[in-house]
Amino acid sequence: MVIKLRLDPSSGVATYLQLVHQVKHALRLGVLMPGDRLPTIKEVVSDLAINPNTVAKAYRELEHEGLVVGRPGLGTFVRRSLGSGSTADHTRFRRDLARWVHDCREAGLDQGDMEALFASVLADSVQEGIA
Amino acid sequence: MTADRTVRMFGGGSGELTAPAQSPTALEAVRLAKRYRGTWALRECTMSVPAGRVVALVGPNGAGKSTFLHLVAGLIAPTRGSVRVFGEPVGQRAAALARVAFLAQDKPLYDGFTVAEMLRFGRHLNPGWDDALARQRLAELDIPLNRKVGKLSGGQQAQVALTIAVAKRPDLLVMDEPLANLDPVARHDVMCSLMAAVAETQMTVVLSSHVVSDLTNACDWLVVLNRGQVQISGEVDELLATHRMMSGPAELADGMAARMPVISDSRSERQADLLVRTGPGTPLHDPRWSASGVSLEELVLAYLRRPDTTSLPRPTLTISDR
Amino acid sequence: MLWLTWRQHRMQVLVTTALLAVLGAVLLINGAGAADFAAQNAPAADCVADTPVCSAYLVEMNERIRSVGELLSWLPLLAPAMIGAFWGAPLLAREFEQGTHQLTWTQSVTRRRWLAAKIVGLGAAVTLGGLALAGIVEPWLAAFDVPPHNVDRFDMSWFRVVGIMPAAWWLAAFVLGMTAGALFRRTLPAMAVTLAVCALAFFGLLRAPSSYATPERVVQATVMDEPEPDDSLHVTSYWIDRSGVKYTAQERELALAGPCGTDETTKKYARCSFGHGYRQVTEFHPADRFWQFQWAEAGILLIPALSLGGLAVRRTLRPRI
Repeated sequence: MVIKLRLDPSSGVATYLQLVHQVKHALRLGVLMPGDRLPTIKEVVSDLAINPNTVAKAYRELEHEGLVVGRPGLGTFVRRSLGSGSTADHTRFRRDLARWVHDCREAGLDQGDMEALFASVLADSVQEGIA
Repeated sequence: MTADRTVRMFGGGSGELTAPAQSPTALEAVRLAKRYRGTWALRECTMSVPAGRVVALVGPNGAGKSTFLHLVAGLIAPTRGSVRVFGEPVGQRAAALARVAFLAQDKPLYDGFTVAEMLRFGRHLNPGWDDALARQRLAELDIPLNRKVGKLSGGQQAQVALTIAVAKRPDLLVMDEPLANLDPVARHDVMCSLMAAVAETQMTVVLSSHVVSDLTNACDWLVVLNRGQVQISGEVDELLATHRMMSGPAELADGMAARMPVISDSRSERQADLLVRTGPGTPLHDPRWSASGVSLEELVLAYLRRPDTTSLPRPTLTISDR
Repeated sequence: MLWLTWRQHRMQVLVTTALLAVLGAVLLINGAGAADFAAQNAPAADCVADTPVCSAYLVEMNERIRSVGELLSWLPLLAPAMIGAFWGAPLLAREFEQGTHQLTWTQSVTRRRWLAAKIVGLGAAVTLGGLALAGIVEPWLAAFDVPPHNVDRFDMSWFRVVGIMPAAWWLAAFVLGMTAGALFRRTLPAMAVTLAVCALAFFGLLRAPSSYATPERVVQATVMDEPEPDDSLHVTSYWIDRSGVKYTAQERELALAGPCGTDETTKKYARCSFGHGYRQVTEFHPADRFWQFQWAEAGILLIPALSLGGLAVRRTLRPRI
């Protein structure tokens, strides 16, 4: 099994949406690549004790967005990856970010400070229509 | 009965496309009532559940859940009314018995039998027995076939009992408080195991509990029994979508109550919190009120405190609030 | 269903078979010994006169038969009680007590078929067991039935361990136990009630066979050694005087104390009694009524048992928990 799906019961988000987000997150991170098989519905519910319909709904949603495709009798497979930028770009950005994190730590910022800072900058850029 | 869109899953969970279809009614009770020695355990229960659902049957102790499930399983006969499973009346005919599997409270098994002998029991008494499925399940659960049932842990016994019910390949699986007397690990394991079985066999499941939270993620249909009557019968998603907790100024509470059905009403000097049932497409414009969703548990509790309120599907049945 | 019935009740079957086998071995050894002895020591002549050879033989045979006979005399009381309590009572009571009826009656077999298989299977086994008991007692009795020692199957010592009696008692007890189980739905109370009713039946019917038909009468006016024919069931004997008034033996002794003396064992005393107009009346059932009585008692046991059993079955088959 390539990935294991999880649930956060206190998040207030509908279960099927949580599953959708997890798959998308995995796609973004490159944990799931095109051609990988998602866990079967039976595998997911054996772990999470949720209704099979819920998983089916999540997979339908992903299929609707063109991210996965279901092949009868074989499973549900990743169709395309998510996110922009090449792998080389990602590697460069990871390195830049790592350096930024290192610098912040040197300056005495903790994780919460860094997250708040990043979220604020991101929000500003969205407002300015750059991102 | 109301036609609901049903997810049909093909081939053991490949996550394929849904085919919205008219689903057959898995379970239908019409004016079902049962009297024991002068007391009415169930009064005039009318409800129906589409196929392929996992139904949570909740209600306080003494509400009649066990009686209802025993009626569905054919162990007792109704005093009035009828109950049908996939259109066929429940009763003492082999064909009717084969469609419904029952897992009683206490999960009875023959303690002196080994697990393998329990499977043999199932094989001899059920023409539709799926031995491969039973063995596969037990192997996945690491339950040894040659151990006596009485020597297994409570959780393992529950799994064996569930396996016997599932391997019968019923159309409807009925379970009376399956999670009672199980430790949290066993409870989780049984639910996982049950959901896997549903994914594989597409059977309809009805299970009762007086603890709602155990069933929240697994069940997609809710039936609430209170004092022998059906208070709620509906799809969980729909119920959660059509109920809102409205918070606003206390002096406007009566106005709100006049506009839509109020299930629970809690007021302080300044603020009122009303649990209301919004109809489909009833917009809530009023900026003085803030709306938030409710959990299934809150919903059930609110209804249980007001036994005279009901939330039943729109259809043509007339239900008297008696 | 056959496998299930066997698997659930194999303990009962195995223990009963083992006990019958043990009993069979005991009877075999004892019977073979008696047959040996009889072959070597049976007096050639008919033992009308009381010769030492005769009395030695009779004493020895009586001794041998008594040793095992005492064991056998417990069987008509204990065996049906045990069968009722261990085969019959748990049949339904255990299912209700453990809740397994909720499991078994929701499989794909109807209650009716389940119960029928159990009753027929176990009922047949119990009946066969009873017939087997009679089957191993019969040759053992035959080993002792070498004249002048006589074994009377009609005698109450043997009547209930031969023929169809064990089978009838066992089957009736089984059905009774099952009925108690259906009624009380708990094994221990059902067992207790079954044991009690079996004991009541045993002691109630203890002297009953005499009344299963009108006895034959023989009036003795002269000295006779054997007023009643061989192998008949003795009911009673009493004395009547000339006018037909009944006397007990004591009353007759009192009346005749003067004229005939007090030693009533002598033939002289007997002739004196007859001389004074007293007649001895013996009531008995001739040997050819043996099988009639066996069937009569079987009917007395089985008709009520099966009727009650039928009610229990009907009650169980109705769909209620």
